[in-house]
Amino acid sequence: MVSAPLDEAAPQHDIDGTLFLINRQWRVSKNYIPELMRQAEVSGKVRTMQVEAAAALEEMYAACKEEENITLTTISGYRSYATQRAIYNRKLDSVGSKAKADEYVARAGASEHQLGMAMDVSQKGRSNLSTSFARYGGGKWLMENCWRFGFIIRYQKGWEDVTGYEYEPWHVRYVGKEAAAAIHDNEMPLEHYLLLLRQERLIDIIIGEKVME
Amino acid sequence: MAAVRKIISILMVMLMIAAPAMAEDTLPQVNNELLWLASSQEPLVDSYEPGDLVKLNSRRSAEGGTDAVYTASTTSIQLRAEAAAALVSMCNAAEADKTVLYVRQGYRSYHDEEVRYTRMEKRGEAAQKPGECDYQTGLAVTVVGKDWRTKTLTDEFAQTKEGKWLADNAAAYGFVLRYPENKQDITGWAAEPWHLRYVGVEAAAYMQRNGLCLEELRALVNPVEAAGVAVAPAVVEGVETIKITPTPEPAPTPTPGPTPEPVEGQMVVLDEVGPDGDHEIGFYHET
Repeated sequence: MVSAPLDEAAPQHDIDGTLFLINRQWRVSKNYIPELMRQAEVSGKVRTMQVEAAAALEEMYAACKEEENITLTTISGYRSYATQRAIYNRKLDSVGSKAKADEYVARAGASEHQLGMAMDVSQKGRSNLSTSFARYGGGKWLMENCWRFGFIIRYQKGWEDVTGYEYEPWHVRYVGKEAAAAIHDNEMPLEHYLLLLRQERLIDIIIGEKVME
Repeated sequence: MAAVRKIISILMVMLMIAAPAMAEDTLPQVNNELLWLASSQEPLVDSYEPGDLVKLNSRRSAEGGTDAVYTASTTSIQLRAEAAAALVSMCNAAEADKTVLYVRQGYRSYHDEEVRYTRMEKRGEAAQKPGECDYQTGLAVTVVGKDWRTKTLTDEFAQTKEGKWLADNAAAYGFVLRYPENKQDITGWAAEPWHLRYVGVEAAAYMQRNGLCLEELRALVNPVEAAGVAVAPAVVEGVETIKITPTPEPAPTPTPGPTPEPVEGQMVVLDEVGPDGDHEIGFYHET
């Protein structure tokens, strides 16, 4: 039995990497647009992602159809900085305070959707994003299986202090199969996984530009 | 001259066989492999990879699984089969004791150690050389509590509930601290309260009762070594020239004699326990 080798190269020095960390603290500039993206061949409106993530999404959706006979759909994949800003402002208008808005919507530059690595998933017959998705067949299957295809449920219950966001059973982030499996096993948010990675492999991982508020 | 040397060798061995029985606390019956030091005194060869590694199953909170452990690792964790089974037992027992343990590190190959060493050196940090690292034995494991899953490991861990539980209870499952507190001048390394080493329950109990680190136990089991006689690395590539009693059985058996390393021209005395439980003493010349 051969042990898994340490990576020779540090993963993700560049922003297109699968493990690039984006959260409220670590952001990307408004100029960032991923280079290689395409539309995933699945149902839904906004289904553009980085090519590797798109392929994985297709694989995942096909498996859900085959295993559960449920058609997963896409609500929102790649979102530009400008789009994210518009979404944030709309939320701000509806809840009134930045503090409240921040709980649910990322600021421009702080959204994984700008990386083309995140997808808001739903299933046929539903089009809104709510925690009730977790109780539907598609949501349940996604929670238990997305790791097989390289995705993680990015914002889970109990992790709010670390991720900065409330539970979002619809939001998946592509990190690749190896990381997704480990994160699934470890039951920890991406932020903690990266801490582990850095210690185990003794490499510096670029985790975005720190933005001072 | 040669004849005198022969007689002295035999006498020495017979004395050493008798000595342990005279000690108040009987030396443990141990499988030599479980006591390999993997240190600068006794490095492992680069080709050594345990043949019986098993992957630990990762336990997730939603799923029960008493044959799995909670993990905090970016790769799957492997250990030699006996150590893995003991670890699972230990973690289950700890959980019953309201102490939840997480496993961070298991087997690391010689190659992994090479990469690690290079990176540590670049950072200017002290590191164990490849071949001198306990994790290559497949018997070493890093165990922490929930709060320490991603923390940089320091001896502060010893003050935690989990650190204390391990210090008190790991021996019952065959694990000891490889680098205990106050043994740095013997082991060469500062205390690592998270770093457990599987040696089997008998050896672990003996070490705990007598407050010994692994190097100290080895000195008792191999007195020739302790006397400063040059010893070849414990693992001679592909060949095991000295056989010590194989995997200990639960039923009590006589304490094995010491096993001096062969030196060219010297007569070597072998004291083995045969399948019928009798001592079998053999002699041969090393050429």
